[in-house]
Amino acid sequence: MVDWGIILYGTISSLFDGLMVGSLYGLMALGLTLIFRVTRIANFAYAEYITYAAYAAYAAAAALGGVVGAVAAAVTATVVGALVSLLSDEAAFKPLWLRGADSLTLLVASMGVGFILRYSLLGVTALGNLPVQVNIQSVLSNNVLFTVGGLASFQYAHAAAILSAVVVASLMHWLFTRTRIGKAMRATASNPTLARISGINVYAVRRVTWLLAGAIGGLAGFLYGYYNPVNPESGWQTLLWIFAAAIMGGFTFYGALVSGIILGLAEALIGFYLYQFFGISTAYSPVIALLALVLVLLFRPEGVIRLEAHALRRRV
Amino acid sequence: MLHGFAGIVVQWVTYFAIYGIIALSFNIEYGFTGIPNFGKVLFVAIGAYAAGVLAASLVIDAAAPLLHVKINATGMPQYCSGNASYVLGEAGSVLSPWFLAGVFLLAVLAAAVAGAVSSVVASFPALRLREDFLAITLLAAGEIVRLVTWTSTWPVCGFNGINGIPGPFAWSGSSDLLYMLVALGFLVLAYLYTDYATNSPWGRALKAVRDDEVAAEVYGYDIARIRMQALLVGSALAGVAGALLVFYSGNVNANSYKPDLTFMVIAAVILGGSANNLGALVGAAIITSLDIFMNPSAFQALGITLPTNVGNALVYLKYVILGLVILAVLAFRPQGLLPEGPLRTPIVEKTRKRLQQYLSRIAGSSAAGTEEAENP
Repeated sequence: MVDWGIILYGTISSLFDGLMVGSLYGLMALGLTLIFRVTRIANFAYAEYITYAAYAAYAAAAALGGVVGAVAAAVTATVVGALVSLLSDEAAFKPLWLRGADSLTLLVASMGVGFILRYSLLGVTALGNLPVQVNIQSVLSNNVLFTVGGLASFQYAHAAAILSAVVVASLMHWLFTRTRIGKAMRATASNPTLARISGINVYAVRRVTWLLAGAIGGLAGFLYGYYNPVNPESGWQTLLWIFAAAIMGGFTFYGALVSGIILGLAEALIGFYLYQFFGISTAYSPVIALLALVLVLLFRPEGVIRLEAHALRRRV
Repeated sequence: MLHGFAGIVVQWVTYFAIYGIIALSFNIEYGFTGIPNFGKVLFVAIGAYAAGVLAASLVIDAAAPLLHVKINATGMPQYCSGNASYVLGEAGSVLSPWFLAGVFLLAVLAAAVAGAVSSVVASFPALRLREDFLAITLLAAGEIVRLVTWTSTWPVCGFNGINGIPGPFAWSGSSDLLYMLVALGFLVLAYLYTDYATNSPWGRALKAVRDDEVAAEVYGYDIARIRMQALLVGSALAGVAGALLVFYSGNVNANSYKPDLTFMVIAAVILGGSANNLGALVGAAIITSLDIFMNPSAFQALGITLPTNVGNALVYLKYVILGLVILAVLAFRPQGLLPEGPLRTPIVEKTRKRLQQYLSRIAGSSAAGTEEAENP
């Protein structure tokens, strides 16, 4: 016998969670898309910027606490994300790019960078200098904003994530349509050679892209850590969702955001219903992301929610 | 069991053989054909699952009556039940060596078949996607299979795994030494086969597809077919390596087939030199050394005791070094330690030999008179 009360409140709760997680997937996918479009790197190290930012946010929140701590954590996460991202480009990707590496080489290099970042964090935690798992929420109090029927709670983390996605999307829209650097980024994304001939400083564009992508990832990392406990492998475990959202969005900036939200909702709702009606563990929910990724790549490789076509299909 | 330094050497050789086979298989796909099969660990895992399940089932069926143990498993495979690992652990002393050897060979064969069959799954995206997207898809597929098999009881008992699978030499006192020789034998076979296959006309076809699809198509090569063949051979070899890994460690646990293994193999092939079989083995040797010696147990065996936290950090440091090595190779020596050489094609050798014979015959006939005159 199915208890419809549980289903109703569970659905509302899943909607809240899905919107929050989806907004974060969307933000992360937006950062990944930025890097992919401007530099042609399918960046596996992107997940680690998120993890590093979440750890930095935890340190800031634990040091200050309260509202000040929350703001400080958000700022720290954004800055750390941006710096780690820029540093990884300057140290690893840019030299390879200048030597004319192809996209597969850059992908392998990004896996290498990801390994260095992730395992050095794991190594430091193993030495006992860092907590194995951090929970930002535990050091910032007063979490619940309102509840529906006392069961489905809407927390500050939900509000912050959804609000951030909206604000970042608006800012990005403004950047891409109203500013010189934004237009230069779009030009470089669509045709690097032509952009260079037109007098655009592609090196500056590259630097801004990595900073911006890292900052977005860092902010998302803080928000992710505000709700979920974070360990050194959290980013890596989220990466599949990020790639699925970016590919579903056809590597377009707005498509990535929308796809992220759809995937987040799908994860929360499908996971909840499968558990309630069929008793299937929510541990299987990443299968949804894989299915989305594979189906989109196989049948609509230019993306489902795209704003411009981007041919990924290979010729056989 | 060997201990101390000798034990480490045996362990090194065994792992080198297994990693070497995986590196050779990855080299066929990535180095020669240009298919970035970044889900390599998936095929190793499928081979391991097939071998582990088959071996555990056969051994339990044979050994349980002899040990007077009644396996009672409801809602799960019999090898997942509580006393299965006891039966498996004791099986070596009650079963005949011939039976264990037969189980081993059968399991290796099953792993090769399972790997080959599963390559169909990989070939579907491999024929349709650009390199980097194919890499992402296969990597994700490997992670998902690990996650699903780790959560579900079927096929390999979820997070418990199957433990204590007896190796083919479970009856012997020096089982790991014998097993090392067997693994080495498999490596030699794999190397001879790979070297023969990649230096054959088929090997030339692989390289043609890698270098220029359009040109290869114009010359009449069926690209889809060649890609599928490369994946089939590569996955079957990976499956065999998975089976060898199972019988060496004695257990199958979904969580030991992480993308880290794929990355180690990628590192081995890129470091050694892609599209060079000997290079793949050199890379595998370096990576195996890193894997064995960056481990607290190796230090323990040499008589050095590390603090627990340093020991744990050392294992992670291994991957940091691996990442640095990859970046350094990509930046400074993208062709690897042993660069790709020309194919040793019998056609060229035969033609050259015939040409030399022909030339010497001409030279011989024209110079015959003077030679005889000078050297009576």
